[in-house]
Amino acid sequence: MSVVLLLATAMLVAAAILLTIRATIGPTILDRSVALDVLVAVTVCGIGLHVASTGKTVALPIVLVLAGFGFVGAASVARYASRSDDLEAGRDGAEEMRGDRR
Amino acid sequence: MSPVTRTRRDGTSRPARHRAVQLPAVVVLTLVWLALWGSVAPLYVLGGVLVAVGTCLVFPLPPVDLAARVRPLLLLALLGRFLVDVVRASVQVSRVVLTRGHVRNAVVAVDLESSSDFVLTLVAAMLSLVPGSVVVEARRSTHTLYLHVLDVPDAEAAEAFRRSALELEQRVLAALPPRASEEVPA
Amino acid sequence: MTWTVALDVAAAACLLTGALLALVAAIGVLRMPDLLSRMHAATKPQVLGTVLVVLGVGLRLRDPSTVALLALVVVLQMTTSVVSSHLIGRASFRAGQVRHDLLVVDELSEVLDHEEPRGAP
Repeated sequence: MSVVLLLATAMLVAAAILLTIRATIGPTILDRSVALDVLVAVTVCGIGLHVASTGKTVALPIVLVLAGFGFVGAASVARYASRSDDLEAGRDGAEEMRGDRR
Repeated sequence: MSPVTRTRRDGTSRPARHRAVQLPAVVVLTLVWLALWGSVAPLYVLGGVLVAVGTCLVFPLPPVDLAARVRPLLLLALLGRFLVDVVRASVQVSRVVLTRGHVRNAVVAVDLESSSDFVLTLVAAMLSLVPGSVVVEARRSTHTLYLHVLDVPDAEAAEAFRRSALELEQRVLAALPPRASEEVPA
Repeated sequence: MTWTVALDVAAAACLLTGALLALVAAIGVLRMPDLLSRMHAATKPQVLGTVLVVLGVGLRLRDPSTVALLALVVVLQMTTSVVSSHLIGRASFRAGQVRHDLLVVDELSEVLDHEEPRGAP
């Protein structure tokens, strides 16, 4: 069991690092919010691993709250990003895109 | 949901007033309360009912009209098929992610047959939960879903996805068939 | 092989697969060329990954009082991830951040061009 837990933890840490890279470079704010959304899911998995390894259920409410409210950040970002032209969006060819959308 | 209106005796219309405390909502909220406590002792049930009634009074919502009968066996089949779809699509998306850097996508419009908001919502939610397709836009007036689909090489594959989405709607309709009286357009 | 060992093995398999899905999703979020493709990769750990990890925890704890709580976690995660993915997809399409060169078929842009942008999502 402990080998499995170690392996799973290593995978989650790797996932978290990759997601942090995406959240840092991600050209638009929506990319960042997607990356952070997945980071919340990774956190849920990580706390699940902790509960499974220790057998203590004190952390389960944290999982519940993260699963229930993790979407609020993404939803509110999307609410404000929908009408602004994100200046960083056009790393490649924003001009054409804006052109053919008129 | 568009507001439900009632007509007054003098001909003018007013928005309908719903009862704030609805039994289904109270039952669901009580079940959530019990799940949170992880116990079904009488005191927890009593507390749960009190909290549920309080919540309903503070945040009143119009009732959800299912307008459908429930066929339990077909509903189970729907859920089973959904789980199979999720697993299969997850494997598929994982393969695309790991092996290919360049993918072609498509935005597909799916015109649903049913005119029920409930079916529209359910189909949209299930299609979103299956990896590989995301609902980008939904039109309530025409009951059209616009889905962004991953890894669509050509127009034929887009057509195949549209067919599979309509099959999902048929399965939903088979599991929750609309009541005959509700089919008449208002 | 006793029951507890079998359940532990099943739990370990579930946890490992869930973690693997999260890793693959992270690779996808980093590698995919545009936002909506990244969102497809992101759907996996939010649905199947959560189900598997929660199943693994349930099999490991074997405590009936937590089963309902764990089921609630899955239900909440599923209902909320639908909302967030739809809002982000819609916002990206409306803000014009979609790579049209990656699309084979696009049946929405022609519809959207004909109508006034409706303000809030």
